[in-house]
Amino acid sequence: MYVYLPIAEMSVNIFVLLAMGGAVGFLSGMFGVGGGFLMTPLLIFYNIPPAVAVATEAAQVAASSFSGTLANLRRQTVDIKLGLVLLCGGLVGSTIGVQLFRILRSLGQLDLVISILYVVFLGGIGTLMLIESLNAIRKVKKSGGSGEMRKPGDHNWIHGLPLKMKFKRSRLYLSAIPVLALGALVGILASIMGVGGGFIMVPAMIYLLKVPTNVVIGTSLFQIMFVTAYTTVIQAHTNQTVDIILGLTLIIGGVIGAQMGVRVGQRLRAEQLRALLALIVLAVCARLLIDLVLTPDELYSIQTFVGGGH
Amino acid sequence: MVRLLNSMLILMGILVPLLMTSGAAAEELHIGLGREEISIGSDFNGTDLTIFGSVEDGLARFGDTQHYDVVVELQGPSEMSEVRLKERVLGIWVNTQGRSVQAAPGSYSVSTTRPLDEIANEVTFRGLGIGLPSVPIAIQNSDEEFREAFKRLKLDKGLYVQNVGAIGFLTPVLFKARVEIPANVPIGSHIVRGYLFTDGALLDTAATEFTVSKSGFEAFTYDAAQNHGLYYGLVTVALAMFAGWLASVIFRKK
Repeated sequence: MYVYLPIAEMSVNIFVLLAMGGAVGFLSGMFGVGGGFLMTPLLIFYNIPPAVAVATEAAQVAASSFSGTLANLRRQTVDIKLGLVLLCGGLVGSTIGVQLFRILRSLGQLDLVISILYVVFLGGIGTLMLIESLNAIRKVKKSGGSGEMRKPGDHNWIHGLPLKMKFKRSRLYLSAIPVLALGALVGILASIMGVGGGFIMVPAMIYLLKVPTNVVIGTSLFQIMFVTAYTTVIQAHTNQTVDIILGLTLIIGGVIGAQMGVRVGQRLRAEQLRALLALIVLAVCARLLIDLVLTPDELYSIQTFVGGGH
Repeated sequence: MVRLLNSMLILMGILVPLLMTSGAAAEELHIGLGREEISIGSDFNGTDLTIFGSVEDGLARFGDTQHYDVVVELQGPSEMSEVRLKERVLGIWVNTQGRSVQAAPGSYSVSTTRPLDEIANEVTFRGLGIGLPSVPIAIQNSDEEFREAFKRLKLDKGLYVQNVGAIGFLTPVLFKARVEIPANVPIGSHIVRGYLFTDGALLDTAATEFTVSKSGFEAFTYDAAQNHGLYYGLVTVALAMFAGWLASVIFRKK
């Protein structure tokens, strides 16, 4: 059964959209990531214009993050104070990102920038995570200890920067600057790439900020929820490429999948989760890299400007 | 110069058969459409449009034998766009060059009773502006390479179409055609032009139009997104959050 998307101005198979939303939603609940880094490329592979995919995906990520956040809040696995500081950085970053999006689109280079950003970030983070988590799994197998990343009193130079704040839930005392910077970076990426940013935030929180793994997922979802909601509104206002029908269809599949994913994620060990996520991230990266490098079938493309007959 | 040639050809097309047959009046072409408005609803995935017509005074010349050819053009609203070319830069494919298309029909189709070269010769069609080679595409620097790429891309997307043999005569003077309207048809006013030929000469032309518009909800949504972006965004987020909350409540008991 086909549904017509009023903003994308094309007709798509509704069941395919629901299935895509469900699968990605499941992963989002399991890993505590928004899922946008998978959904946006999938939408683009399904021929939705990248500008519409990115902007609409922000709405879907907001919905599934909301769903996941509520689940985490009930289990008390969210550091709200930390989340709020990340959020402040995120709002600033998102505002900048939406403007960049608008400029790149008018230059006809938006698609390329989106692909390159994905390849760089997914490739880098995926590789690092894979190496680290495989090592952790091996260590756990040998000694039978926990794969927990942080030992008490474990600090690095990032923690020592000025503007220190105390975060009770995570038992952290560190500078607010890296927290704000991380939030801002994630905010910029959210608006240009149509992601929640969890794939950067989760590893950064674990390895750089040394937040305990059990709070990382809930806290990152908390930030993502607010930043993507904000991004959706600003994208709709500035670029007019948020497609509400597409968004709602993906959301229906996504929120259901996310709830199931949260439950399955509880059953896996922390280092196993990290390894799995790393593999998925690298797979998407490889696909995008191939698309960038392989000679395309058609070297020409048309970008039609709206406003002509409407 | 072209317009002069154009008018001369049309004049010839009318006069020559007139002079050939003694005293018979020239035929008139009439065309009509199955519907004049195509409404895009939530389950739109392309549709068909029926075009029909008649040749008035057509029996006088040829009696019962079928001797006419009809060509029908559909031309969509004019759009502005940009054609870009990718080149390899440092190993990856990047859009480097572009030409702007100031105006070109968003969609175009030509339907005929027989292959064009059997109906009349190329010069005639060029003069009348019929057929894919004559589609009016105003491109930057009149760049032929980019113009051809533009046409080819439009053909691939199913927006520029050639339908040979799509028009059929039900009686010697009554014809019908069914034209496919693609799922990505541009919104706006579409012009329909009919041309009546016999023996390689043009006898008459006729024109009508139809509009493609988004219906009710789709129009409302599109308008809201374009003109009231902020509210549209807020509503979208509210709905998204509601869906998220609803899912968490439904699954809580499980």
